[in-house]
Parts: sequence; structure tokens; C-alpha cells
Amino acid sequence: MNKVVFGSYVPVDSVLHRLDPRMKLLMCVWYVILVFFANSLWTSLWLLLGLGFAMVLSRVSFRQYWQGIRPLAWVIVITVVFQILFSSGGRVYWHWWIMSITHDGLVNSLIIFYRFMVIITASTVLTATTPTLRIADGLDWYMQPLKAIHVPVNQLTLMLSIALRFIPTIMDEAGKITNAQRSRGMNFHQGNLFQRVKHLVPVLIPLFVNSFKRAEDLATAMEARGYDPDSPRTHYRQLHWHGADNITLGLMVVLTVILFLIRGGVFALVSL
Amino acid sequence: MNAVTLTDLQYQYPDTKKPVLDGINLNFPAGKWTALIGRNGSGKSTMARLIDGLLIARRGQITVNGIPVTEDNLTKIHQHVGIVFQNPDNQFVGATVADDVAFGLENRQVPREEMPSRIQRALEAVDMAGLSESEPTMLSGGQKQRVAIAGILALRPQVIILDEATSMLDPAGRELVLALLERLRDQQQFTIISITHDPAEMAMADRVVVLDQGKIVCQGTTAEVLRDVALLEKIGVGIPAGQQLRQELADRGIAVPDRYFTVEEMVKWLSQQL
Repeated sequence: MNKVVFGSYVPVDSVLHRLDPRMKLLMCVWYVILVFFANSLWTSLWLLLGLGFAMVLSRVSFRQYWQGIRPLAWVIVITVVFQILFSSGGRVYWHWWIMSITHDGLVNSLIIFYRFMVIITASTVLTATTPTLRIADGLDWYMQPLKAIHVPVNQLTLMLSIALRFIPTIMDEAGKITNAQRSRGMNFHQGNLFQRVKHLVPVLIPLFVNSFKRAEDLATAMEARGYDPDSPRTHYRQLHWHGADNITLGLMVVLTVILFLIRGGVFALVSL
Repeated sequence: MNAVTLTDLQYQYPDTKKPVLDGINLNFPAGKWTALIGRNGSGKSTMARLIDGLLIARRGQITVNGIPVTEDNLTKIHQHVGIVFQNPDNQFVGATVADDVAFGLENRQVPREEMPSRIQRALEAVDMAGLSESEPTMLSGGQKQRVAIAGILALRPQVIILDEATSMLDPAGRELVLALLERLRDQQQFTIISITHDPAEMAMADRVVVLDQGKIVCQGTTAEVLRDVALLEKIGVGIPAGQQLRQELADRGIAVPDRYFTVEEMVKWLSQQL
């Protein structure tokens, strides 16, 4: 249970876990926007401190966060390397053909590395402390105003939650079909990339056919239980905004104000 | 009192040559458990869908508690009839057990304040109250089917239809679901219609209706219908254990009384002979 895939929920009890999903969604988006306002070493460190505080509060260990982020490490490394080699400006330290390492390139890549890491970690904090369905509930709330322009918000969120609910079921089925094809002599680990992709066809076709069958069964079952997409429905799951959510909101405001004070050079002495 | 009546019912799927149900006249008495048996394609599941208004027949009439099943009455019909389908996974809508039971209540716009108690009671009735926050992937097939039954009980229907609801379960899961059905039958609040191939399940019902090629070939009390082993063999449905044993003994030339035997009755008769 201690292996975290990127974006999966870690079921422990913490202040952050108990927050309203709406607050956590707001917090995550807000934070990501703030990251783009960090323009100096001190502002960046200040935001990092804020993130670190949230990570400690979540009671999910740093090691688990690292396991969650690691699969994306390659993407980050490649982006950073490209940034170093292909951007220009400032003093040139090394040059070969179209590649060069320059002062600006190094600074830019550092900024990109920082943003990448911090944004991915912040969203991992959200997904590690909030079950996907609660995130869907939160989104549902934020999307309610869209009803005014006739966006079918409730149908969309029901769709989203059914899709999430069926992910493990369909993964399970994919596993079974793969095994069935293997027992008929299919070797999925043989041949070049093209052949391997071709080997997936006999898995995907039954998977799709079965998914349509499932969808039809599910639609019938939903209709039998009185589901009518055009009728209003009541909601069993309610979102509760607590005092802790107000405090979090307050902390976000403090984080933002101090960030802009540092930016504006109020702490000029410190930023020396 | 009949909970469901079918009068001169005919149904034909689009793009087929023969009607799947033809000239059906049938009553389901209220508070009784009726087993609907017959081979695959005999029209059993179609009948279940027609009763709940999921399909609408062109010819004939169906009434549920006196309400005719028509397009205009669908909401009311869905309130009176609950169906448990065959595949436990394909009818689990909610993200957790409680959410799934709540789904039907939400559709019916039951006020939020009423929901927890109704969900709790329905889950207690199927012995699943302890798992109300579990996700479907953590449940066995039998547990999912019991949640499906709870979802229906929470809506307080008069008619419960089980469309081969135990056929995908392991023996332990099946036994639990059947025990639950017996409990519900004993409360006599529900009319149960169970479509099944399982001889043990037919033997538990009060009445049995045999369908073959879209027509009713036999109906009556369980003892009357299941007595006719030759008929059961002819239409290719399973034979309950007690009756099978009686038949085997009779085939070996042993004089067994020509009546219906449940397993318990057979055991009793045999021990008397020894």
C-alpha cells in the first residue's frame, strides 16, 4: 500500500484529508498561478516553504511523494536538458553545432525545473489527500454556474464519476483478456515496436466490444432504477465547508500577500 | 390478488422473424415467489423487461398493481418494480456501496435528510451495513448482488424481479442471496419473480412457470410443476436434486411414490425405507 502511482489517493487521516475538496481544488489552482509570479530566489523559496508545509500537514511521507513523481522525472529531465542546450542569451560557456550552454539557458532551465517540480508536487498533494470522486464532486460545484448557459453539468459529472468507477473493472478485464490471448500462444514481449503494437489489437477489440455491452447493461439498470437524465435529482453526497477551510483560505491569502511583498522588495534587507 | 397480470401479450424484437413472446396470459400473485424457467432464448428476460416497461409491447396488456405499463406510466412502474440483473458489475453505479444504494433514491428525489436512514435499513436487510463505505472492487460478486438488492429495497417496490441474479456467483455467494430471498418472501411484502436455471432456486419458489419458445407450457405450484421430470428434461432445464434422486430410484425399478419430493422429503422417505 506504500507505493503511490502519480495521482493516486493515500488513505491516511490528516487535516488536509479532511478539508473540503472545493478548498483543496481552489488551493491547488491558486498555488499553480502563484508559482508563475515567483521571480526571484526568495519568492521561489517562500512558495516552496508553503508547499512543504502542506506536504507535512498531509501526513503522506516525502518518500511516497517521490515515488509518485518519479515516473514523470524523465519528462522533466529531458525538458530541462533541451532548455539548457537550445536556449541562447548571456555568456556562452560551451558551443557545438547548434547546441550551446549559455548563462540565460542555465537560469531558464533552473526556473523550468523549479516550476515543473513544484506544480507536479502540488497536484500530487491534491490527489494524494482527496479521493478522485470527491474531486469530481468539487468540480461539480464549481461548474454549477455553467448551467445558466445550458451546459449539462449534472450529466457530465455523473459521466465522470461512472468513468472513474469503471476504471478498475475495465483494467481487470484487460488483464483477463491478455491472459486468455497468452494461453492461446500470443507472446506480447516479442518483436519490434510495430509488431508489439499489432499484438494489442486482439486485446483491444474484445475489450471494446465488452465495454459497449457493459454500457448497455448499465444503461438498462440505471433506467430500471428510475434514472432520467432530464429530471432533477437530489444528492446523497454533500460537501461541508468547515472552519478549517476558512483557516486554509486565510493562509492562502497570507501566502499570496507575503509573496507579493517579497516581490515588491518590501523585505529588501532580507532579499540582499 | 395479482401483483402483475399479462394479458394476450406478444413481443417481437425489431429485425426478427418470430415473436419472442406470443399469446402470453399470466398472473403473478401478490406476496408470492414465482420462478420463471425455460431454456436460453425462451423469452424469460424479455418478459422481465416488459413488466418493468424497459421494453414496450405492441400487442397485449401488462398491469402492475392495476397500473397499465405504458410510456406515460413509466416513472410509476419503475417505482413499483425493481430488477436485479445478471452481471453484478454492470449494475453497480455508485462509487461506494452507500452511493450505489443512494442512486435510486436520488433519482426519485428523496430528500437528503431521509437518505441515510433508508440506506442504513436497506443495507441491514441484506447484511451489508458494515461495508457501506467500500468500493465495488473490494466486494465479491455475491456482495455486489446483495448491494443491488439493497438498492431496490431502499426504493420500497412491490415487485422484485431477479433476472438470473445468482448465475454468476460462487456457491457461497449464491446461497447467501437465496437465503436473503427466502427472508424477503417470509415477510410477504414483496412479489418475487426469479428467472433462473438453478434447480435449487426453482425448488424454493412458491410457484413455477415454464416458458418454451415464447409460450407458457406449464404453470402451477412448485410441487405440481417440478413433479413432471419428463417435461423438465424435454425443455432442457435443471432438475432439482430430490426429484432427480426419485427418478433415478424409479428407473432402477424401486417403487417410489409418484409425487413431488424436495431433498428433505426424499431423505425422510429413504430413512423410513431403511
